[in-house]
Amino acid sequence: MRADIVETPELGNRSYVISDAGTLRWEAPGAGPAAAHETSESRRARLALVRPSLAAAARRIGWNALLRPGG
Amino acid sequence: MRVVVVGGGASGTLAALHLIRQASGIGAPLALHIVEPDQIGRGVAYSTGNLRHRLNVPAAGMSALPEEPAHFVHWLRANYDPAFARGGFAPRAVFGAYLADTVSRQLQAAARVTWARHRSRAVDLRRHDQGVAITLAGHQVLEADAVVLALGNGAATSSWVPPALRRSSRFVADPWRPGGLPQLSGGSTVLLVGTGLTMVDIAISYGHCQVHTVSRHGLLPLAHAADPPPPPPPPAPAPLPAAPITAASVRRLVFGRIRELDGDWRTAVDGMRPITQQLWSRLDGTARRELLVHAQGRWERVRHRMAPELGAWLSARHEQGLLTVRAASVVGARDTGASLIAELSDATSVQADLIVNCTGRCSVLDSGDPLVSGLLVRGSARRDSLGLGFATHPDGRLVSADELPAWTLGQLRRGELWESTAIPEIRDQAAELAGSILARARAGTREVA
Repeated sequence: MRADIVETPELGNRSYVISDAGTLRWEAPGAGPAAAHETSESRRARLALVRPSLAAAARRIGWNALLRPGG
Repeated sequence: MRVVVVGGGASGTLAALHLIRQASGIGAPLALHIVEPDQIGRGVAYSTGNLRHRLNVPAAGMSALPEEPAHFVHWLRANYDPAFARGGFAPRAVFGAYLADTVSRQLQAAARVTWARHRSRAVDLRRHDQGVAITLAGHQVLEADAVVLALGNGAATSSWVPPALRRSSRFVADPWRPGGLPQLSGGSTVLLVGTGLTMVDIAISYGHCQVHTVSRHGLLPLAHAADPPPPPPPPAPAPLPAAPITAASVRRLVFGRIRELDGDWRTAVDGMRPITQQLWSRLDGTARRELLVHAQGRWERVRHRMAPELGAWLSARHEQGLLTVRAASVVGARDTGASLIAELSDATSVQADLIVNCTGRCSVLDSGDPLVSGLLVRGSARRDSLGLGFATHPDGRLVSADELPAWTLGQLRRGELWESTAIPEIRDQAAELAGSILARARAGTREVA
């Protein structure tokens, strides 16, 4: 498993762990990397990363919740 | 039939217009009285004389007549600018003139309609026989079969103002009061408190000055796209869940639309408009309050946007350092005689020659208006569940303990409809209440005058 931590303003400055398969998992602030697996949360986050237009929109209007799990 | 319209701003003028149109359409006699101390069609929103103060909706969306969407565009081309674009943003003063002109023309064409203008304020309204009695500030009493309360907004909000600021002659409590903005020489410094659309107008008025702005979140208004695509067809009612709708499901619906449109938030938000009232009507009081507390500011920022050219101007001023933005509150103030010093919650301060309140206006229900206070005290009207405006029936008639034949529209229906302050909604409400008032007369509730 890759343990890259992604922290971006577009993702609400939360941490995401990227797995070997390229999937993402959201980590609660302060939590260490955990086994990555595709969840509805990580899917949303992954979609956000591969759709820069959505990330740009969230940044422009200040709605980071657009990209957050459950948002 | 005799009808009194209290308030001659945009809402009152639109109500008068649709009463005249519908009465003449069915050949019904109508004696229309309008109570307004200032110019017809202007109100606070359209009274500015600065032609750089623009509408925040393209001209194609501002027709006074629902069946003629291009009515305002055609009027603009005939009376203001022959080349005015459908997607252009007209000066607000010009829109006020359009409303006044449209009602005037309609009146001239109506055979059995009379119009009386009262340059006064209504201070009392009571049930009288089957109709109403309205007392004006000069003690004149108007008796009518029905009344329309088009009261708009209340006074400028002032609860945040520190006492030292309130006392200072360098503080403008209400920038829309006629003559309220003093002239300043170039190089002066102005602090605008509030960063919404009013701030943009006042920043334009002081475009030759250094402008500082401050608000709790420090977010500037958003702009329309320079070349907006046509809005997508509204989502069909089918996607609305049958189950009770919560604040969270509204948020998911909005986010879902933005995601579906690959981040095109403007189109997504505009596309929500046809179902906004339907959504709001299905929320319970708890969910409405939750959205009011947690989402109102963010929603209004994406929903009510400024003209693209103003957005570009504001961005340029910001980048040049001629307009600064701070996220803080004003917690104190000192008047040194030569200038004002505003103390901010982030422990900084701003020295300015003038401080202007751009934080908006409160509800007229909280402004101490004697007419409104009397109605509420007697139970002739009551607040909606959120306290934003009046409780109303679907046609805009007040929920009233004494069945007062009184209707309202616009801002005062916001708690019940949410989307109730833009011209298309006010126009539709005006048409609906006109139909309801005239139907009441035809039903013989009161002998036609």
